[in-house]
Amino acid sequence: MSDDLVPFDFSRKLTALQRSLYAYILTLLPNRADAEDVLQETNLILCRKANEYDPKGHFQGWAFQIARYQVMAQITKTKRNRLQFSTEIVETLAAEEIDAKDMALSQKALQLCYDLLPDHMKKIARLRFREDAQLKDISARVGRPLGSVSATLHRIRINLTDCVRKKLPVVEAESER
Amino acid sequence: MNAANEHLKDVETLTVRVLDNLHNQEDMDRLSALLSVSAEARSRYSELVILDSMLHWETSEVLEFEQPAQKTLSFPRLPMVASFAAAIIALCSVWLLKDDSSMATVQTAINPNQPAENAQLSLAPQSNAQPEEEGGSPAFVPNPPAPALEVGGDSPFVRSIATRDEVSRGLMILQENKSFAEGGLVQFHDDVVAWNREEHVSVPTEQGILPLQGDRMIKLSKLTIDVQTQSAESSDAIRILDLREVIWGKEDAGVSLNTSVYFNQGVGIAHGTTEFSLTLHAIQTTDGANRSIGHKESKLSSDLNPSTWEELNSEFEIPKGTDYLVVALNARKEGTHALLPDFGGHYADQLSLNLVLGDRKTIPL
Repeated sequence: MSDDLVPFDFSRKLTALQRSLYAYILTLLPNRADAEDVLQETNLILCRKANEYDPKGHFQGWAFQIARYQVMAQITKTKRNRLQFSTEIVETLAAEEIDAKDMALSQKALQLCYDLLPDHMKKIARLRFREDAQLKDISARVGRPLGSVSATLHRIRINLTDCVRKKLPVVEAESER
Repeated sequence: MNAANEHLKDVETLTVRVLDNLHNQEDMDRLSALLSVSAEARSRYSELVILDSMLHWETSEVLEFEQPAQKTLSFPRLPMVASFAAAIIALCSVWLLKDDSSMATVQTAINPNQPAENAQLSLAPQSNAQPEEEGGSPAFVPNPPAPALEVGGDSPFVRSIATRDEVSRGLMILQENKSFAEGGLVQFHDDVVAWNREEHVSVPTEQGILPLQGDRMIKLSKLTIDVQTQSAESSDAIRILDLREVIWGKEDAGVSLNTSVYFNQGVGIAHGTTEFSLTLHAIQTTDGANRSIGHKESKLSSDLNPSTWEELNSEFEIPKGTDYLVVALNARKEGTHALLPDFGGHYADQLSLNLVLGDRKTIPL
């Protein structure tokens, strides 16, 4: 096999891991734009290193390790002009487990929980998470004070995380049927 | 409320501030201190960030499937996974293509070091180049392969094998005087016969993009990622004009095509502007081969506002000896954002073509 060949199975594994990989990177680097940059750099490196991967090895562990290195590199690169975690905190957070199966179940639970949000919360969530609008833009678009929008987004997140936690056992039980 | 709960509330507040980019150094220091001493704090922090990642990730894709009448937002999973799978497979497949000898000429064409003027391609259509004829769907088009298309220049159209194959097929439809074929319409404007794919590639409102006029707009193909050049691009052949009857004997007086089209892009996780372009290729058919004898690419960079459309106008002097004119619309992104999945979508509307003959007669096409 040429050094440049990427097996299909590798692409499949990498594709399946994208959601967890992005979540992992965002946990270490809680800034969407930076996290997206690191995600794509990590994908590039993983593709280039495809032939170094042992199919019997732990793909997620290997991919996360490369992502962690990329996060460290990003932090070093932007140290002077960004508010971000120290490398020590990143190392501590990197030890937190993110399981792809749990992510899939959480996502199912999130589907259920999102539908329960009142319409005005859905509107603000859509602007923030889908359109990536900044809070002051959301404030102008929904005609509410910035503080109110900020508080609503806070409630949306807390409500959804609490709801997801409650729904997870139900979703898990359904998936095992 | 006990101290542990208060700390968790602090973690929630600070995490949300960070995620909304409202934090300062003091917030960062306080959050770091809480996370470094408490596993519970780290767990709550991770929970909130993962939720944010899922919300951002899911909603980027889901509205593509949302109908205007629908008021609720749900999270279908398969389209998201499928789209991202396509992006990653495209991303990785660059390495696969490199060793495929059958693609050697294409690799030469996309080599950024090669001078554009020398990027001449001569590719026979692949045997599987017409998927719409396969799988038992009704087909009016004959099976024999279309003649090779030789095009020059350096544009997404030139680099797209699929689009050039589509053009070869369209040329064959016109050369064989077909009235029907799958994937487009044969139209007549005075003495100009056109193979028009516009309706075939049009969609109603989607991704929050409203057509500029009417209820449909052209949706350009998904961008194909080229990791080595950190770019992504797509090309769609929209019209092929058979000019043999109309410009015969009129070339000396000068024949030109005036074009106008509007472009727009949806909102996706791949931020940044898109370079849209319209390419025109004058094709001459001799000895069974279709060769480009002149071409022009007109470009513009889109803004990031999905509610506005950007207009692109161009004029093309049609070279003597032209038998057919190919009109293609292209989209291209460059830089690291080009490697992100193309969830936003790229659109065109109100494509207007006017053939101006030497006697100042204008034929709208």
